[in-house]
Amino acid sequence: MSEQEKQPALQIMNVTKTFGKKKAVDNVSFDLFPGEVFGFLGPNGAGKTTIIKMVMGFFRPDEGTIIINGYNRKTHYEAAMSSIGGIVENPEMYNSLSARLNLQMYARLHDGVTKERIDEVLELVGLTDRADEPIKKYSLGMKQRIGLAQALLHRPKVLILDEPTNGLDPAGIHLLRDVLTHCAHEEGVAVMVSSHLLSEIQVMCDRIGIINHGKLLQICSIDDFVNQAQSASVYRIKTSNPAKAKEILSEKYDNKITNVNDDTLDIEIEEEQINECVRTLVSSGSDILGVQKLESSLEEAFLEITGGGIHIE
Amino acid sequence: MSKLAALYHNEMVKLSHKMLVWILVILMILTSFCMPFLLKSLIPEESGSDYSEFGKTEITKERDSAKSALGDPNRYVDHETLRFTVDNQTVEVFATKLNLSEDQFYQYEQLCCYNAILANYDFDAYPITETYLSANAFYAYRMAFEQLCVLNMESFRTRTNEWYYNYVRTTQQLDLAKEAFFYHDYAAYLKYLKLSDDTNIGSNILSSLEKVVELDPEGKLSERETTEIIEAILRCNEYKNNLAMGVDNVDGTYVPLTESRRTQIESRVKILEYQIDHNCLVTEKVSNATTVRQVAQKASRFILVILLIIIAGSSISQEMATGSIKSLIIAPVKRWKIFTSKLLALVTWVLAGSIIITLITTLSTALCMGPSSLPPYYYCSGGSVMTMPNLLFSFLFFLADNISLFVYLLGAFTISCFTRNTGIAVGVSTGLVFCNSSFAIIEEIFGHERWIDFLPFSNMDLAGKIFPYFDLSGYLDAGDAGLFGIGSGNTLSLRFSLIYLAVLVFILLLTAYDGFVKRDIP
Repeated sequence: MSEQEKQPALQIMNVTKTFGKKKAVDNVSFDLFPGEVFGFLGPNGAGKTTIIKMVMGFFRPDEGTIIINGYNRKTHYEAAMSSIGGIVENPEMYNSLSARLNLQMYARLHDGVTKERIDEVLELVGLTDRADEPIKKYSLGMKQRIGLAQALLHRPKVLILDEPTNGLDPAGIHLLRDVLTHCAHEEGVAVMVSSHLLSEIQVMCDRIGIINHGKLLQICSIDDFVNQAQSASVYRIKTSNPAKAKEILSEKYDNKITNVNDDTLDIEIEEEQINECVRTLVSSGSDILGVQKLESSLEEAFLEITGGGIHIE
Repeated sequence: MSKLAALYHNEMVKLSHKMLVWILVILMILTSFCMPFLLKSLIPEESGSDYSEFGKTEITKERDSAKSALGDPNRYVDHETLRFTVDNQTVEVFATKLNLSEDQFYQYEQLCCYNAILANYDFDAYPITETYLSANAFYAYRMAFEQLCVLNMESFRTRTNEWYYNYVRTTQQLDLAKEAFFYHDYAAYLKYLKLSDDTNIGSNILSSLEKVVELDPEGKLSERETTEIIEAILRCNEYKNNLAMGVDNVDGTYVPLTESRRTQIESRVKILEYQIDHNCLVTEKVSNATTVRQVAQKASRFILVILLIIIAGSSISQEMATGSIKSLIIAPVKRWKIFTSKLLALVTWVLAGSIIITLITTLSTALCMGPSSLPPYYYCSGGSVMTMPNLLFSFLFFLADNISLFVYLLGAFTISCFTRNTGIAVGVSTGLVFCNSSFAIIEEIFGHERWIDFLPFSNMDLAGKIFPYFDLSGYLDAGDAGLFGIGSGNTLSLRFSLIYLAVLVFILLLTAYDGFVKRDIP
């Protein structure tokens, strides 16, 4: 069964949110399917958190509909919200209370969360030993873990994590990745992770959506995105005479040459073409001092899509 | 509903884990318990000494000092015109010409009088300073004696018909006072008063004394008790007079009697008459105990107010500041339920605080003043006088007084929801609470103007309006006893105040609701 045939776990339809005169989210629509990890990618201030906050009930959308697990958030608020779990920005809880008590209080607001389930999630995030300490004694990473435990407590159908790796140590990131993958692939949870870090998204997600200036720019599977990015990489060729090399290459790769320096030349070509390119240069008498693959291809692609990166208005 | 209950449960868990809450609760309990003991030590002790011995010693002392100055009154004074005789019971004083000064003459008279009392009076049976009849008859006896002396100082040559009239009357008075005093005879005392009626004692008091004689023919009630009965009867009579004339006495000014006031005053008369007949008027002991408890309640409430304003003022804004509101917003509960659960938690604290304070202050007042000093509340329903148990009434009265507290808390809560700033919410509402207690100044500056009625402060003092007969059970008005309310002089009707407060509460709730439920959470 392909993803498109499944009933979406989360549907966001034509959602718009305006703060004052600024359109923070502009007519965004996308679906989230059970069993997938969806990466929500965008520079700071792009509207990721605003969308997440609308889904989680912090903001009311000015326009548009949010449907969670088949329930319209507006008309069936509690039914819709009981299928969702997550962390928005940093996980904040009642600092003077213990982690266990915090979870117990949260569990009370959901139906059918047992004591055993609380122990289970504490075990899952590796906090069983320190569950009875007050949260204020926790490090940021531990808070992230307990936040994750809270988000998973009621076995949500949709799990939304806003920049979840903030403050996590490598072991924590590894754990998070395992947990998310497990949730999505084994338990069929629809997971949405937002981040401004490409590397993170790359290893965790099945599908990504790129957002900037409140507009959803692209949705594609991570494989497509990587392929698309890998098909054109920037190579830096070190040569004694870049100007001459540019002349030689411009016949064939005119618009692919992105930069010329004192002793280097940057060219954006596909991997297969590099051989031919070097050969052309050598045969026309240029001396090649080195060839280096430049920036991460994904970032380049990302910057291209988002129009050059950070825009804070 | 179950979600609301769960939220409410969570609210209580959160509050119960706050150190500040426990510190203030313990402080409140300590204040409730210790305050009555502290206050009791401030009330002047009743003299615990033997009344009869006290009276006897006083009289002996006065007699001896006069004796040392003037000599033995039983001897014939070696003077051509002056002679005192003292027989066993009657003292007659003759004087034709006076070489003694008026002061000395007066002292001679006192000496004779005291000699007679010391020789014949039964101090053990009727301690002079204790029972009403003994004390007053003693005074009457001395006055008549003195009057007779003064009359005797008149020289024979200048004595007129008027002198004879006065002389006859004074000897009658002396006889009656003697009867009343030495034989503890109320009837004689009443006759003495009737004889003196046109000169110094109002017929009102006379008729009230007749009632006292009816209630206490033996004259065993203490002076204080009898005075209380007389005052109650006088008050009853005044009410009856006012009812008959159709006027109402408000702070010494007479205004036309309204229909509701008429029923109220008729009820007051009934309650007073019931209390007189059943010997359950408010004694000094009772009113002391009630005042002690009320002041202790208000002092403890002061701590409760601080505690609750902090809770109310921080309930929403604090969660927003720390971000813990997130776990409430993410949960599948509608926002109005979060809002309502917080309000319910607040109401619970007001109620629980009131119950705790009432219970502990009652316990500790009963411990230090005796349980008998806490009588029931008397009220009039359907034409007959009913009573309400003391503890219950004390709680309800305190609660009615706390309606204003609740309005302030709601104010703090609203500001907290609206500004989302704990500091502003707590600061402004604390300021308002203090404003209220100094509100009376506004009336002093501007006089009573109509617009003052529409200030919240004028409508906060409800306890006295809901329980109009509180003073008949020894309670003090809110304004006189404590933190809230501006006390007497406020003639707004209960209905006006209730409608005013209902509108105020509605506006506050609406603002708070809008501030929290409708707006986005940043």
